[in-house]
Amino acid sequence: MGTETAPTAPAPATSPFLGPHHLVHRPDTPEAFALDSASPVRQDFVFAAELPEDHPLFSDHSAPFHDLLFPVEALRQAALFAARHYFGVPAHRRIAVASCGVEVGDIRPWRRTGGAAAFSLGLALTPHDVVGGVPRRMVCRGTMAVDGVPCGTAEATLLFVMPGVYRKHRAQGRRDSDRVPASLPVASGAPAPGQVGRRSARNVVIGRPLARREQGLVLPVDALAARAALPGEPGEVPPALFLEASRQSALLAAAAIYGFSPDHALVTRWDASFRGFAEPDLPLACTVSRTARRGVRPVRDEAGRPVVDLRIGFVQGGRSVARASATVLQDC
Amino acid sequence: MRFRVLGPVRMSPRTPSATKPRAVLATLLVQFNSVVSTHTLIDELWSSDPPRTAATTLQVYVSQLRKALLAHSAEQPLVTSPPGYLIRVAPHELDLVAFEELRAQGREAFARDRYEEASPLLASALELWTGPALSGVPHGPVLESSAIRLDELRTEVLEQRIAADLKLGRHQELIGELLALAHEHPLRETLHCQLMVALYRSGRQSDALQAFQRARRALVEELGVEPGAELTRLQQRVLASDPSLVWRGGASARRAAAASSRPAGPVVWLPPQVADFTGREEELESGERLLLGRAGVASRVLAVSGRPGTGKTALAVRLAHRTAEFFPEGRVLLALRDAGGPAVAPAAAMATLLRRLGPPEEAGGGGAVAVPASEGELSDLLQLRTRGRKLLVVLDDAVSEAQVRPLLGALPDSTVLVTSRQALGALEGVRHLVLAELGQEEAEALLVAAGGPRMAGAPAAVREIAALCGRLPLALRVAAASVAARPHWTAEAFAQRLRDERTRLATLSLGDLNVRGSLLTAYQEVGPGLQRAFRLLSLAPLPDFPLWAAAALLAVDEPAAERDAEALVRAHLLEARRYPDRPAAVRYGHHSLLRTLARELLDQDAPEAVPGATWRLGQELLARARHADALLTPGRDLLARGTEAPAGAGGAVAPLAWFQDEAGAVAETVRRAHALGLWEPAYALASAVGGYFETCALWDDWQSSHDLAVDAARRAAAPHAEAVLVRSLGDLAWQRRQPGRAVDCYRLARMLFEQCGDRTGAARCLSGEADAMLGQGLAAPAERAYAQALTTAIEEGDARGETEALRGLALVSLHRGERAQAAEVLAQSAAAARRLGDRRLRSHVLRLASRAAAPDDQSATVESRPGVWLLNAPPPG
Repeated sequence: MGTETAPTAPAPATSPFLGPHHLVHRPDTPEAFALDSASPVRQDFVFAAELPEDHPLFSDHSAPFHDLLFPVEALRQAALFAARHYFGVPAHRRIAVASCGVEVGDIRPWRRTGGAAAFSLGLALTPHDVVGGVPRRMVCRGTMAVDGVPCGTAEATLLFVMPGVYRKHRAQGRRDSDRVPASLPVASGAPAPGQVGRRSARNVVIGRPLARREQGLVLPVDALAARAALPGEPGEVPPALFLEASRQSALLAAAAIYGFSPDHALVTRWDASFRGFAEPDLPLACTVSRTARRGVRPVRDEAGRPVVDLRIGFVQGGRSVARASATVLQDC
Repeated sequence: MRFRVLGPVRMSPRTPSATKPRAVLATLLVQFNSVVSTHTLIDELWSSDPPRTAATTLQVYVSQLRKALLAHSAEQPLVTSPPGYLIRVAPHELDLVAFEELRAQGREAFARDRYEEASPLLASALELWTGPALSGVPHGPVLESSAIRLDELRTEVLEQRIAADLKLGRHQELIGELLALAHEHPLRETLHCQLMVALYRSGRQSDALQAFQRARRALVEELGVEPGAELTRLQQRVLASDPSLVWRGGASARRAAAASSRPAGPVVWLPPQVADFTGREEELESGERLLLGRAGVASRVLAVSGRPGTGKTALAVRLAHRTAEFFPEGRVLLALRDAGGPAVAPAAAMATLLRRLGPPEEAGGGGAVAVPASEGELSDLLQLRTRGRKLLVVLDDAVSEAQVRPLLGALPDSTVLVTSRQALGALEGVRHLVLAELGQEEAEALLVAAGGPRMAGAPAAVREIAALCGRLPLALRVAAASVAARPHWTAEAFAQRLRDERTRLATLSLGDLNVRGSLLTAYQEVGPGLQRAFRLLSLAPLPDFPLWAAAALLAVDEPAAERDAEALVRAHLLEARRYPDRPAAVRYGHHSLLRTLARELLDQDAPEAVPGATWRLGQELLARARHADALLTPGRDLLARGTEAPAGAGGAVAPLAWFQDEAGAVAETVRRAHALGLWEPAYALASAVGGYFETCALWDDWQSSHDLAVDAARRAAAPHAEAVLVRSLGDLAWQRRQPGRAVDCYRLARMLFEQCGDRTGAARCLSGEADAMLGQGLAAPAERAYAQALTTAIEEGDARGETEALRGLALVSLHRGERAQAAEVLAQSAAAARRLGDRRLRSHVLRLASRAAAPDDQSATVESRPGVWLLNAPPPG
């Protein structure tokens, strides 16, 4: 596996984490219409669910917005189900995420109103590298809507890896990590939940900054806490960890560097690419720093609100396992 | 800097594109180096009705001019000088100054009998002209009088040059030019005199007398006066064979003869190329191949056609310049329409062409060329003058084959490029090049090239403007000029103005650049029947439409609709688009701006036709949609019960493909019918397309069409229709995983069905409600509802209701892990689905049966309805 490949995703096609939801196949050929079968070419779906109002993770926010983890997890689960059911990806193939991204276009529909909100995710799933009718890669593009109002996009590229290959890469990644001492300075506890946009300490997945540099922070990721809070499989790093750790460290850094208030801040864009498998039992560090994408000072969106871009990296030992960038908006 | 007023007002290297600043420039130029008062300029621009902000606006125009002038000049030539402005122009910078100088020198030489000097000086003065004086800008009092004066001066110089040539014994060479001029200026007696003299001196006394008669007839018919004394006296002298009329020759003539023995250069009568001509490389290469006979088929005539505004003339001129080396003896453009739009008669066109080709060369000292007095004779003369010469003649904006045919006959050896708004398909031996709108990238490049930095800096707006202009070159140029001419406008703001279709054509107007007017010319050239068709077809709900929709809109049968549509295609008022893989392989559509024009004309000329045409289209769509729906989701639409597809609707044999093409049209027709108060078509159509929307989860269209349809049903007091549509909205809410809303809809619909006595509808609502309950884990109440619905469905003979209720009962069993029971019920459901004839539903039931038979399947995933998966199903409750 080359450097373009990725950390893990668990084997089951669905998990109860999201709650009951619908996934509707949109047929565009007679065979798809009559038989609900699909050729290994682009197929369209739509995911529908109510955004949870009382969920231990998705509803635990200090800022009054729905959680971006929900659409990303929805995309992942819908794509996995479709890969297995419609594209015939065998159950023993391991799923790796090569890249993932989400962007909020309009934040208004994301604001929690106290009532039920209907979430939908229109999905175009395009299989690639088809061998024997089975794809080895799938590009997923989604458009999000809350209560029927379009409000963002999400996308991901998934790889379907043979178990032997998967095991080899896990082993190679671990050896690479071990070449450089993986120990991190002892973290002096976790930040207060409010500092990372949460209300419950259970959902805090990063530690206090280990180092503070001119351009940003270095933080430990609490894999144990993440496994308790996030959906995932034993023996693997939860796939949602990277988004959640990115989000928490970005809010912490936006406050530290730019003076943002985490209670009124949200991540409106996150793009990540994965460069190997993270190991759940090795220390994982997260670096977050300012980026010159749109200048080092905050810029303002159309409504005049401050917006900053941050660069995020995940390192295990001397090995980079993921790189991400995020945009944080100060809601005011 | 160079300034031109003897023709279109121009300033090089770059002329302001907006007309008002050009008018200011022209007014200052005709009084160059003199102060022109602000009041004079305001009068010139706005006549007696200046806006309140006239002075400020004038300052803006002056500022724009100064900016343009300073870009190419070290010192600002346009200066403020109370009470107005003056423009400082050096003599070499203005064509008018050069003209006056040459004219004065020529007159002086003529007065001193030095005709061999006078003739070229006067000819040089005339060569400075590129068209009617001060053209291309609106004329106020100053420019109007100046234009008249300058055109008069030009004719005077022309007459004097001819007089000098006559003195030099060039009478034979002058005949062609004089014939054309006499035709062009039938009331100009001096020209008639000169023609008679030239003819007489060429030994053609009778032709000279006929020329007198033509001149007299024109004067009598046009003005009711007899010819003047000079012309009458000349007639008497010709009649009397007055020896003093005979040319005697002289030193001057001998000198001139030596000069005229030099070989003539190529005849070039072409407008300049468009400065920021963009794209069209493919068409240019293709045109060049065809013109130069490299396309494999020998043809000397290339016809370029396209709707107004596609840039046919610009392309033709560019081709003529690109191929110059292949036409060493000349390239001449001839407009086949007068400025006002009417066609130029073939004879007049030939006369003009003769004049442009210049005086005839003597063929080896041979005899005199025959004098034309009719179209046939003009044609003969043209043949003689162009025989064996490598000439390219551009016949621009031809009106018809009948107009072009005589000209082609008169130019047998020339290569001819014809441009026309019509496809001149009836011309023989002609290669055709149809000019469509630009590609998206070319359109954007044109906007940037012509619109300047503000366009270049707004790529998203440029993309949108290009699309809103339909990529029509004229519209793009107007858009670019509109932004360039208004420093306070942004490309984004202009795009926003264009978004409103009702005002789009009005927005695309700038001075004499008027997209609406240009498009209107094509409309005005077709007959009233086609004009009506053009207008009515704009009511098609999608950008393109099949023939049956055209027939419905026009209230004719399909063959008649096809004749009209094809005629409109030939007139470039409609486009035919081929889709080999779609149910209707040929679909028709308007260019977006023509569609806007057609809607405008319809609203203006025949608004009363809209409801009727919408009704007809609605009925046709309804019949076809119901037919397709009966194949897609048989029995779903309870409003279609008891209706039969009328003859002609049976073509929809691939229902999914039919809906993929036409569902948008159905949804839009629902909207329009609702807006027109046509309640029944509105709700019936929405119901007919509901099955497709459900199948493909097209939630937005489903919701919006059904919201309107429910309103229509209520307004029409049609409770059964309301029940059908509300139940469909329940299906929508269920699919969207909004169980509470779904239950509300099903319950309301059931109540309405019961009020109408429709037990089948009510039972289906019960099944729907049970689906929603089961999705929330409420298996027991769902089971009771399914059982009740099943009983009614069996009693009413409703195979769809029976299939769905049985499937629900099976899902309850699966939910509880009772696989054997589920398999048994699913077998019954599959049998009911077979009776119903719904392959999709049956296939779905069989998939469920297969799962029921798999004992190791414990997943919390179930296909609740065809293609709809409930994931993470709640545990039994």
